[in-house]
Order: sequence, then structure tokens, then C-alpha cells
Amino acid sequence: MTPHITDDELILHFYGEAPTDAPRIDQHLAQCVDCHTNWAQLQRTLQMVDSADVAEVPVGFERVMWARIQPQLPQKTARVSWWSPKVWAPVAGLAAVIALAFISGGLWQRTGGGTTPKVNTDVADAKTVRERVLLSALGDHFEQTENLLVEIKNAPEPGGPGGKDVRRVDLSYEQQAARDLIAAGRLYRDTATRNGDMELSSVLEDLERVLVDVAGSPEHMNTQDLKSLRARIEDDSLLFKVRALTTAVREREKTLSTQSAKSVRTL
Amino acid sequence: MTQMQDDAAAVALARDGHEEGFRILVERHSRHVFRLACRMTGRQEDAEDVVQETFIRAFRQLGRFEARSNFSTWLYRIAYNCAIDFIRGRPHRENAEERETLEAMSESVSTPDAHDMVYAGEISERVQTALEGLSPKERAAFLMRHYHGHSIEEIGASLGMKTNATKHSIFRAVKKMRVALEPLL
Ligand SMILES: [Zn+2]
Repeated sequence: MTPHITDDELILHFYGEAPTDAPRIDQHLAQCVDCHTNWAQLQRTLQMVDSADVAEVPVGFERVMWARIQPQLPQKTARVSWWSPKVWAPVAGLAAVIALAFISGGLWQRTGGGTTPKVNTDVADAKTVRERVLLSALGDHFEQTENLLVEIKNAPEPGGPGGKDVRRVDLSYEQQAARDLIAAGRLYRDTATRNGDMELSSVLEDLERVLVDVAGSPEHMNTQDLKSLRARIEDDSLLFKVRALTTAVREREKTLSTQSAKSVRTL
Repeated sequence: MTQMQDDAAAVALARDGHEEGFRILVERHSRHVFRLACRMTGRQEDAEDVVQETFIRAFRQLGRFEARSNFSTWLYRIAYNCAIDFIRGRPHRENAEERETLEAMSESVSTPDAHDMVYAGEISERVQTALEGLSPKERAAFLMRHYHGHSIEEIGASLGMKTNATKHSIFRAVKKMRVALEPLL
């Protein structure tokens, strides 16, 4: 039999830091009871370490931390204007695309595909890659928001036919998702507002209000809570708006991919 | 991927002097930094100070952040270094007391049959005590490897240690964990 495996070797093996030794170690472990026992104990120990909790994060922690951090940030005096291409190329490009989608024929009427928004190719060329990254982020954002709204719309009503004998519906997962989406959405809304893209900004604001409601609602909702939340979603035809935005963004992304593929070919 | 893109966009905002961008980063990452800092410092109040200092340092260094890299990885690296500085700066804790605790821990304990909560609490307590028996750098190296999945090479680069020294830090940490948790196996 090959020599025993040392503790240190086993540790590296556990963390995948000894790939070249792995076959030899595995082979030995399969044959040697002592080393196998040692290995099993190490694994159990490190799994226990995994399960160790730390202090609960206090409620409102992020807000408290921001209140402590914000006054200590060095003030930046030279504010670059919103349209400075150096800093804002990607974001401005994104906002321009969305704005264009609104101006050219109205985004809301064009959910089923067809025409794609035209953009100034000079502007688009230089920024294509970065713009695509941002479009993809915004597209994902809308898709995730849509999924969340659909989940809430379809959640089994407490005590209802789909809900069996459940009195309250657990939306804690959706609430966490809503909190993440609020933070991301604020960034996009900020961008849109500063860029004067009021229509996009107002959709994002509508979305944020509903997301805040979702995030702040009781973790276990009763029929009444759930109904009023659904009514909000339906009254503002939010789902429809979000789907339209997703489509517009995804179409624009496709256009950009084709453009960059073409420019590669001409090089 | 989306998270990375969002972070990169927020960093871009913050760099341009828009505080909103930095606020988003604080909202999104401060919890994780807090948990990391709790493990490093062992005390909640100290962890809060580390979170604050981490973000202030991160803000100053934003210009050095490369958009292609992962913001949280970059931030954690700053956080670990902040925590190391913090621990070194605070009045020395009684090392002897720590050693005694570790020895006392290898004696009587509740078993997995005992109440689950007690058992879980015991694990956490023992892990924390074992961590406190390590030097700040050893502790950081182990936590980066174990909880954040950073490679030994990356850890060495982040903490300014040679690969061998990093390995040995992790070996020492795991040995302490084995001593501390052995009675619960
Ligand atoms: Zn053996």
C-alpha cells in the first residue's frame, strides 16, 4: 500500500487545492481504514464549521450603516455633467435607447416585435459592447420583476381552492427578491431621471412602489393583504408595462449583437 | 452575472461623485461584510466599526477597482485587511484565557441528541473560540478559504503572504477547528 496521507494533504484535498495528488489520495483512502476514518472526521468537522452561525444582522442594518458612512465620504467637488461621454457612455447609451423606443412609435403599442428602434450608428458603434452589458442588466431586471409579479399574482390564496387549508401565504422569498430589485431599480431610475427620460423613470417608480409594498408586507399574508397587493399590480397594468420593456430591451440587444457580428466580419 | 453588472454600474455612478451609486453598494453588500467582520472580530460592535471603515476605504480606492472583476471579491479583500488592522489596533485580549477556553472545551459537552438549538449554539461558540486562537492573518486566510472559496494563491496575494505561509495558516486553523469540534463529532 502507498504511504499514509498526512493531515495537511487531506486539508488541501478537501479544498481542491491538490488536484494532481487527488487520484493517489482517493486510491489510498479507498484501501486504508485509518486514513479513511481520519478523512471522514475532517469532512465532518469542516461541515460543522459551515453550519456555524454568526450574530444576526440587526434590522435596518444597511440604513444605519449608510447613516454612519455617508458623512465620512470625501466630497467630490468636480461633478462631471450627466452627458460627459467619458463617464456616462454606457448608461447614457442605454437611456438613449429606451428614450428612442418611446419616441419612435411608442413602446407600449409595440409588444409583439416587428420594428426595432433605429439608433445613430456612429454613437452605437463605439459603445456597443458596454451598452449590451447594460441592456442585458436592464433586461434581466425587468424579467426578474416580471417573474416576481407573476408569482404574486399566482400565489395560492390562503384558504382558497389552490391553498388547501393554509391560512396564510408565505412570501418571504418574494420579499427578499423585491428588496434586491428595489436597490437595482433605483440605479436605473436615477439614470433615467437625470437623463430626462421621464417615461422610463415613471415606470420604474411605479415598479418601485409595488416592490416596496411587497418588501414591507407581512411575511405571511392573509387573503386581504394578498388581494390588495394583486389589485395594485393589476390596476397599474404593471405586468403589461414590464413585458413591453423587456421586449424592447431584448430586441435592442439582438440588434446590437448583429451589428457587432457584422463589424467583426468587415474588419 | 446580473449582480456583477449592477455593481459595475453602481461603481461607475459613485466614481462620478453620485453618492446614490455608493449607497446602493452599501445596501447590497454591508450585510455580508458584517458577517465576515463578526467572524474576524468576534464582537458585533467591533464588526460594525469594521464595516464602516471598509466602505470608507473602498470609496477612496474605487478608482482602482477594475470593472471586469467581481466587486464583492474586491470588497471582501478590503474588509479582511481592515479587520486585521482593527484587531491589531485594539487592546490585547487575554491570550491565556483563550487557551484555557479551548482546553475546557475539549471536555464535557452536549451531544447531537441534546436539544438542536443548544447543539447548534455550541458549534458556533466553539468555532468562534477556535478562530480567536488564531492570529488575525491566519484567521483571515482560513475564512477566505473556507467561507468565500478563495484559492490559496488569491489569499496570499490579498493578504501579502507567501503561498507556503498561507497554506500553513490554513493548516493551523483547521487543526484548531478539529480540536474544538472533536467532542461534538
Ligand atoms: Zn493510510
